[in-house]
Amino acid sequence: MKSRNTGIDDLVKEGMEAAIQARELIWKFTTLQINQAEFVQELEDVHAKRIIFDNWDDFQHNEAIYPCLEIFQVIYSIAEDVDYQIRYYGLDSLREDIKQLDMSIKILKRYLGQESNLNLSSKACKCH
Amino acid sequence: MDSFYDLKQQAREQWQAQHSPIAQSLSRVKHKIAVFSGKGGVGKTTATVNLAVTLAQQGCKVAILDADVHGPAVPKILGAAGKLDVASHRMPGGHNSQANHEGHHHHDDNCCGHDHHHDHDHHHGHGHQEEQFGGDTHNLRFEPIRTPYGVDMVSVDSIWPSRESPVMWRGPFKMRIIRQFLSTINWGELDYLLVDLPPGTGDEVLTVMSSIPGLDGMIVVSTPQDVSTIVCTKAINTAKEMNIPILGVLENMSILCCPHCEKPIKLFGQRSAERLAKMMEVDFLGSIPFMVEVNESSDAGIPVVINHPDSLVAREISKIADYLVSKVANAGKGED
Repeated sequence: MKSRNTGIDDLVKEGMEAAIQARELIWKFTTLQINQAEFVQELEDVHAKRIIFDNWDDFQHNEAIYPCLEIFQVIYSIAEDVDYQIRYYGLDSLREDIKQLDMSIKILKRYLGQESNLNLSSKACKCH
Repeated sequence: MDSFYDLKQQAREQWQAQHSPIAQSLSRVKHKIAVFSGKGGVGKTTATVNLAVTLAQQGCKVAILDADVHGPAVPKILGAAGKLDVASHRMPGGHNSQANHEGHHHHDDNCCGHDHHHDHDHHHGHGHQEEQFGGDTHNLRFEPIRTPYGVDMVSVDSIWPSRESPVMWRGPFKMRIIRQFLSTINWGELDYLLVDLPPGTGDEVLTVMSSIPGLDGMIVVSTPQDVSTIVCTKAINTAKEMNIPILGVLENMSILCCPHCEKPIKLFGQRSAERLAKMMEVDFLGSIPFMVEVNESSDAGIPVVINHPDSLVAREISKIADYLVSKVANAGKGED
């Protein structure tokens, strides 16, 4: 069996968990269950920018985990730039981000080569 | 008339824009210029790269942001295949290990009339950052790619795992990557940041127009064909709608120089880009002829102004660069 880097696997799992958390937050924000300040704060607490910078070499040298970088980019961008995104692309664009996050999770699950134990179905987004 | 609420909202947005991470990141960039066209294939990127290298040869500090997310070509023409490296934020005041400044900004007699002593700390402001790097992530930055021609560069290729993999991003994601480049690259102190845009008036163009505070203006590149100038009209009108100044129209592939006698052959007819400039009441910056050497140099990753410095193309680009320098300098004086 091909040996794998457990550090990378941990990063991928962290990315998947962050994606699940982010899509739940997006859902809550777009259905007015939380306000923008709470939304941004929760996303900032993921420390996506720090994770991107700390793991930059891994992201650059391992094409298979690129979706993980995209997850953190989405989270970092929304946390920093949600005003701009809403102004130019509308609130619905955040729901498009949910689709992007879902796609990334799907690819990363394939990368891990196993059914994730992250219980994705129970936290599935209710918007589609 | 604007209501009090509107004015307050405008003031708030203005304040936010001035204090945004992008504004802070570009705070030491003197001139920001975007290069665009209505139509693809007019040589926009070639013009951008060669203009940038010419400005660098004149002693300016120059960088290019390649905002063509789906078809980045700046790295190829500049022969820069590297990936972004994290700035040396963990070593306050230190240098980035990857930075290659050999042959970088040698000229003391520079185009902007300032005495730049090109030590790295000065250029990239590490001394300034020394005070700021702390536990927060605010100052986490990437270094741009250094090129051997004195021009720094950032492109999607600088972060994308392979050149062969297609970038399949929709609107918001394209907006996102451009804004992240603007805010997280250690642009440092620059005389010129040139932004190479994809053709048309899509997400990338609108993002650049709406995101870069104090954008000096846009250069429109066209070929002397009606099919190009017609689409350019739309692009110019888009910029005008967004109150972005048009610095001028640049005509590319204006003539083909006979490789034997240098006699000009009008490939596409008479100077329609110049007519376009007149019609749209903007400046005509000049014409760049078509030469086989341009393509050969681009394919070799050596800008033609470096590879054939005495060619007609290089001479014309140099004139355009001079005109541009004087135009943005005078525009700045007008504001004062």
